[in-house]
Amino acid sequence: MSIQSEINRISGNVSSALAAIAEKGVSVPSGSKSDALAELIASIEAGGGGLPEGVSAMAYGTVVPAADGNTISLAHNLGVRPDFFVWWLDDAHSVESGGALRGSLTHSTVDAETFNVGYISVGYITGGTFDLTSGSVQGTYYMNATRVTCFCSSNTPLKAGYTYHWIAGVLNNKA
Amino acid sequence: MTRYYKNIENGILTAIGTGFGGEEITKEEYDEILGVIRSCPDAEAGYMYRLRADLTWELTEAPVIPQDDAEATQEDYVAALEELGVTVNEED
Repeated sequence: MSIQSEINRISGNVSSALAAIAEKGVSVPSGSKSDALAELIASIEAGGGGLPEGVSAMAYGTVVPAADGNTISLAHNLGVRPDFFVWWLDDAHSVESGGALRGSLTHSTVDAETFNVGYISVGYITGGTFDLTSGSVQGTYYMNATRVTCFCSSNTPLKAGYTYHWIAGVLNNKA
Repeated sequence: MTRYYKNIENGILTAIGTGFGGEEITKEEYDEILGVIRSCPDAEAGYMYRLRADLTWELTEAPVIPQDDAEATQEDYVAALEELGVTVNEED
């Protein structure tokens, strides 16, 4: 183990640390050395996880149904029932369908604490108008500590091959 | 690092996605399955294609779904969840 190899190892570690800091959203000046590490680390925003204030946990995923259908179940790793659930179609299919598909389910729309079903209407945004009368997807949702399951209305199935994005989250203050 | 997965139930591939859950697959397999899904042949009225786990299509009768969803009961949801392999725990 030569002195040069040790210098190379430490130099590599510093470069990796600077890259990790940059991934946290901190602007790392070109040519930064180990002297800058403390100041750069201190400038990382507290929390580090990127969660908005008031949100204690979030899960994100996508799902592509293999066939048109009315039921789909999405796994999350929150460990508790989500307080909100949001989903939307990706841009490619938004163009195809004439607008973006967006909808949300919140704690206030869940109708029972023991059986966690809420009703949600998901509409296509067309020209800035939230349109529930044409091409909308409506359904009932079941949420628990591991899954969000969607039962869509029979006339508005989830479409095969479309990429649906979703976010489920838990709030700090549930009042 | 994006995690890719596929859901297989009773030999039928029901969905693919990213995030938590399902059986983890590579991006290459995800892209391959996505290509197969998006090239699904058209089925006659009253029929639909289901994708087998080996990525071949199976023609089957489309399920009859009640038109009035307002009449669906809690038991209907529980039954549907159990078909998906989801255990309903009302204490969650």
